[in-house]
Amino acid sequence: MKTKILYSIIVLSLSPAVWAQVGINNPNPQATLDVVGSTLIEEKLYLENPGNSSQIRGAKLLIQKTDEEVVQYNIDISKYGPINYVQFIFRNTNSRGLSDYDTKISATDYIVTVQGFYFLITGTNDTNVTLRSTVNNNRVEGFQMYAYINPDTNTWFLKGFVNNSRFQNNSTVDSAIDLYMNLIIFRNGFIAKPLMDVTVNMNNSETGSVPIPIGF
Amino acid sequence: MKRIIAISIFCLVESAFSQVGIGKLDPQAALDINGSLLVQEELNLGMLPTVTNTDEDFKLLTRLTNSTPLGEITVLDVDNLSVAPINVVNYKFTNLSRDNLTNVNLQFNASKYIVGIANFRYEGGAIPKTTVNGVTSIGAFVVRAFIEGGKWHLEIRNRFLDLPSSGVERITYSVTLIIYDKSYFRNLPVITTNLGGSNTGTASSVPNL
Repeated sequence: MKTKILYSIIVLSLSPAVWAQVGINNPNPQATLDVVGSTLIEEKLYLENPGNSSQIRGAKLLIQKTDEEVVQYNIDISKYGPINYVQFIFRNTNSRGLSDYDTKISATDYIVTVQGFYFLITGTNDTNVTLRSTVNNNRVEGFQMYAYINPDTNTWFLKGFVNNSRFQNNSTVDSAIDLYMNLIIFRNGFIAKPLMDVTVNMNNSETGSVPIPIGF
Repeated sequence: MKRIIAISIFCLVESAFSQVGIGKLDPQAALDINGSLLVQEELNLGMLPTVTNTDEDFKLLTRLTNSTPLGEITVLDVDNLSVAPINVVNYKFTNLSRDNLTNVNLQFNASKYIVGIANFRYEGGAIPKTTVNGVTSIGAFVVRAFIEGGKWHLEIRNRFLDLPSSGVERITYSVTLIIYDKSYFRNLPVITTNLGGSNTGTASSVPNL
């Protein structure tokens, strides 16, 4: 602390102007402190009045790398975005649907979610796809289109099917489909994090309240 | 006069390319501050490098608006936050009344969070079709999150049809809820368009993004 004060005094006495401008490697400082070269702050940085950014375009987020260097985040260059969208297209999928598919996306680094899907008769733009229960024709079966972590591979797997059902064409013949799944992939630990699973026993009630995760 | 200042600083640190240490005798950069730096106005970074395609595990920087002094720059370390900008939770609902999750209070405050649904799974038995006035219906299945009383709620059910009240046709629902913090995500106003009976249309208003 003593050293800090000593330097301040020297810098002040050196400065000719009333409003001191200090240049480091810079005889013509453009700000109160103008450093040509890198600056290393061993402790904290405070920006008391940096101004506000009022637009989302023409601006980049700042990130700190694991070696503590501060750089700008360019989503076109970076290995990943905070939120990533990808469409998976499964061509010529069996009429039973997709029972298992390894995306090979790391479950440690990412969170994968299925946020939309649709299907066509394979190789066509034919939307006349129907679902028929293999149990009997009086059943409205449930859909399951989701991503999950396979603990053996520690990667995200996808499933996309309808319980006990076959995809059929408009002649009620089992038909292969092209299955389109829209995935949102969050980078784990950047701006997204997974929380503990919650199981809710509804006790035969149609309504109720679910305990909220801690901290919300 | 300015030249003299520069020369003076050179002399102080006795280096060819001048390096100034504050509280530091062997500076490692042009300016090496062995402590904290408070900037009262703007901070401009002339040659800010860009992330590379091999960088990983970097952290977002944030500025605290409630620190002393004001404006402490911190890394956003979601692992040590109870609430991250995006939070992902798997929910499983068991022991349902027929197929009906009519209105479940998820208790997330709508003024602070936006709730989205992904990974929907319907496991178990099937809802029987119903014939009314000679017409067989498959009903209408709904999966939605909605705001009621300032909190996020969940509805999952076939609104028109029901599972039998007893028997083997029991089901469970699983969803992944994505809870976005409104400090980072904006909930835009509802856009309502009267299509006048048509099945195509154009947005009545466009969000100003």
